[in-house]
Amino acid sequence: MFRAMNGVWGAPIAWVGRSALGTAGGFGQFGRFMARVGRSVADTRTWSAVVVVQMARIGVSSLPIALFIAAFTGIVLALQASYTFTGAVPLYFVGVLVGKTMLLELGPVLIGLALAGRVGANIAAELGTMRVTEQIDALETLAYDPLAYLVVPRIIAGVVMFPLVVAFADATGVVAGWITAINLLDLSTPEFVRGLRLFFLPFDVTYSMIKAGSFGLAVTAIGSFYGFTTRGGAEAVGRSTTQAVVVSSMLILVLDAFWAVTLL
Amino acid sequence: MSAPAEVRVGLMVLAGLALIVVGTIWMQGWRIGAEEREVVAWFREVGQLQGGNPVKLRGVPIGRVESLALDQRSAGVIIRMSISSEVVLPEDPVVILSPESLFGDWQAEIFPRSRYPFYSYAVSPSVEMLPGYSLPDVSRLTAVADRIAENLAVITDRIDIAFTDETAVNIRQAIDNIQEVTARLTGLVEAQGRTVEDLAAGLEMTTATLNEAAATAGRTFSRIESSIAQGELTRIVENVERVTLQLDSLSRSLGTVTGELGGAVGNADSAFSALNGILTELEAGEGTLGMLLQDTALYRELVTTNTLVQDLLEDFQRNPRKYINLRVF
Amino acid sequence: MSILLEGISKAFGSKVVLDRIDLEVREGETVAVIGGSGVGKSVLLKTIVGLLEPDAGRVVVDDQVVTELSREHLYELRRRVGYVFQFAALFDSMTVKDNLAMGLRRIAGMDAEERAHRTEEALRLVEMEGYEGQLPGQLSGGQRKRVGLARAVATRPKYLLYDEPTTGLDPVTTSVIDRLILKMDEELGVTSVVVTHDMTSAYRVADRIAMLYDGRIRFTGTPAEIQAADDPIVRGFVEGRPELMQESTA
Repeated sequence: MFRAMNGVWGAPIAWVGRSALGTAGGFGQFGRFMARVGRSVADTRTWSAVVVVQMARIGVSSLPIALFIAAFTGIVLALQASYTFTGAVPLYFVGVLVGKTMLLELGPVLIGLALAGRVGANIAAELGTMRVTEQIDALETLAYDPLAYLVVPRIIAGVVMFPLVVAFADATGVVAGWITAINLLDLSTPEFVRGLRLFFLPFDVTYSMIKAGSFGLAVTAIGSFYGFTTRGGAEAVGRSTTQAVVVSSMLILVLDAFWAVTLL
Repeated sequence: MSAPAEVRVGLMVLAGLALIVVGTIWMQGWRIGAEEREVVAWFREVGQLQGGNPVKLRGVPIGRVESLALDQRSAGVIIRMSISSEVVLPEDPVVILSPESLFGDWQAEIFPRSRYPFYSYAVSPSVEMLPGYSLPDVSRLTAVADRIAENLAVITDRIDIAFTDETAVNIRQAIDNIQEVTARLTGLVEAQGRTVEDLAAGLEMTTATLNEAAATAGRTFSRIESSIAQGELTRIVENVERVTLQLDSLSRSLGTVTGELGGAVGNADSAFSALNGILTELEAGEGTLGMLLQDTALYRELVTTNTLVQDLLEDFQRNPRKYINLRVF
Repeated sequence: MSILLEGISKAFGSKVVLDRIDLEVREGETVAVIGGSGVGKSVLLKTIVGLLEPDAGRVVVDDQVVTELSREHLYELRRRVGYVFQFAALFDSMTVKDNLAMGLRRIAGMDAEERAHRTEEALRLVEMEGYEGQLPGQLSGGQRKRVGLARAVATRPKYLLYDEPTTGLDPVTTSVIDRLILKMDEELGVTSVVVTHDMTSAYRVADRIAMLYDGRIRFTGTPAEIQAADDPIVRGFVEGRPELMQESTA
């Protein structure tokens, strides 16, 4: 029986087995990496000196693209909401939809995905390059813990700055939807604001921030992991970068579902 | 871009935190800087009210619901609201919770108790807490409407049974009988009148009363016929009650007269027995009119139905959108 | 006060790179480790500072067993070791001055003035004064190597490890680097290990030469001894005659 399997099904079954082992191994490797990063957090002297620079790069520099995405999302949400609500639902529900959707889902997730491309790829490429050009080894020989110097400040910056970027994005999306509602739809400011406030709970903001923080952790940790573990040359850096973007995007969606199940 | 990283990060962090705080406050409908005060109300239950729902006075939003908490000491719910401190609450204020729209959002409205005196407000265990009443939501209203419909069906059935052609004939006969009795009594009194003048005066009065009663009964019953068509049920009950009262006093007056006349008016016996027969019939509920008078359950149903219809009408007047929207969906 | 390798083995997957290597570098001495590309010379160098952990064996530096040190003690030891990378491994995002200051910042109690002084001194040592504000991308390969060397010596280490210091450089720059290595020995009195496959360079800088072949130390001796060696493998490598090595293995 096993011989028959070897003959016809051997290759695909082996592939599944290898993939499973590879995935499990990857999780294990990532877990060990994060455990080491956790230990390196204690080395505050090393990372505190550079964390501000990373906050500027990850947070401040990401604002323009985040606000751009959020503004257009807000506009589209308002238009599509009014298109969907034709007659059946009071038009002030455009405000409900824009507010709730921006805060709970599109704000954190779209910005998270965009920053997975921007920040995650950047980190993976930068650390990958530093790895293959032995700059990480050089840090070690200069008595720096490279995790504390390179990874910890990026992850902290991600966890702190993503929520702030998303907060600005949420606000921009809502304001864009609002402006769209007054100018392009037959809706007044009091109506839109009524809808906006109708089902609003302060927890919506908390939820948005929790999501954004976890996405910040995911993007920076995955980017750091793939960059840090790059082996080889320029091609390997490219591969790490792609993997970092793909995996962190997937992780964002998984986390999105996770928070929806656990927090709502 | 020329500013150092520290400055840019610092600015963004401060602006972001300010945005989160102010945005959250604004989204909750708070007026920043406005003086507010707390109002606490006590409820038996609170429907689907949530923190953040608006508090209104005469339809104007004046604040929001801060928190809901189960009262541990008694089976109730304590609601804390903050309202603008400029707002003056009405005399003997009560808080009524109701759906603001069909989509599940609720509101707390403050009224003077006199506006809706019939609601059974929860009596708050403490003076500082306003009494509260939570209106049933849509599903419960539907259930109530269903019960009202059932009751109406029962009443209609009973009225159908009560007022047949036979009933009408019986009532007419009863009136004829009463008139006949009156005529006989008149004759009798004329024959005996001279010897019992003071009694005659009393009898005359009785006669008048009887006449009036007869006329009233006649009017009442003819009105009953038309009122069935118009559905003025409450007035039926009232009229019937009045008829009963008058028949009662009539019978009492007659009793007095009978007692005073003693055997002298013996020939009137047959007439009285005829009248008594009718009254007994009525009281025993044999006649269908009697049935309507005697059936307390039916009366109670009529009363509850009446209250429910009033509630429904009031709610309908206050929230016509609720019912109109119902049709829309 | 020396570097001692005892029975070092290292394999990557099924590929055995180092097979029970024993090597001693005495104080003040410069040892060149030679061998073909990919024989594990760099791996050997990295095990000395704990960048790579050997599968077996012991590394003793400055009387401390590197393989058994805690993280803190390892970093402590690394402050006494300078490492010159093959492609300099300068931090791209930092100026030359900042690259040099990186190591100096780890020395407790050193103020900015002292750091500036040390930076200047190290750059003068490698003859790169005036390049403080440049970024690594603006430098040539030879200049980068010199900056890399300056970064390694700025902390005044007792040990210097060179990974292919002259690879990819023109002969003139090569001799400049070689002279610098000798200068470090003379002026700083450091103990050095130079990994190279450039025999000219090895002869110039080394007190002793060790040849790594097939995961083992094939030969150890002075430059004169290695030139007189009979071993066809050694001769083939030293004289650049692969046919000798092939005959031997066949």
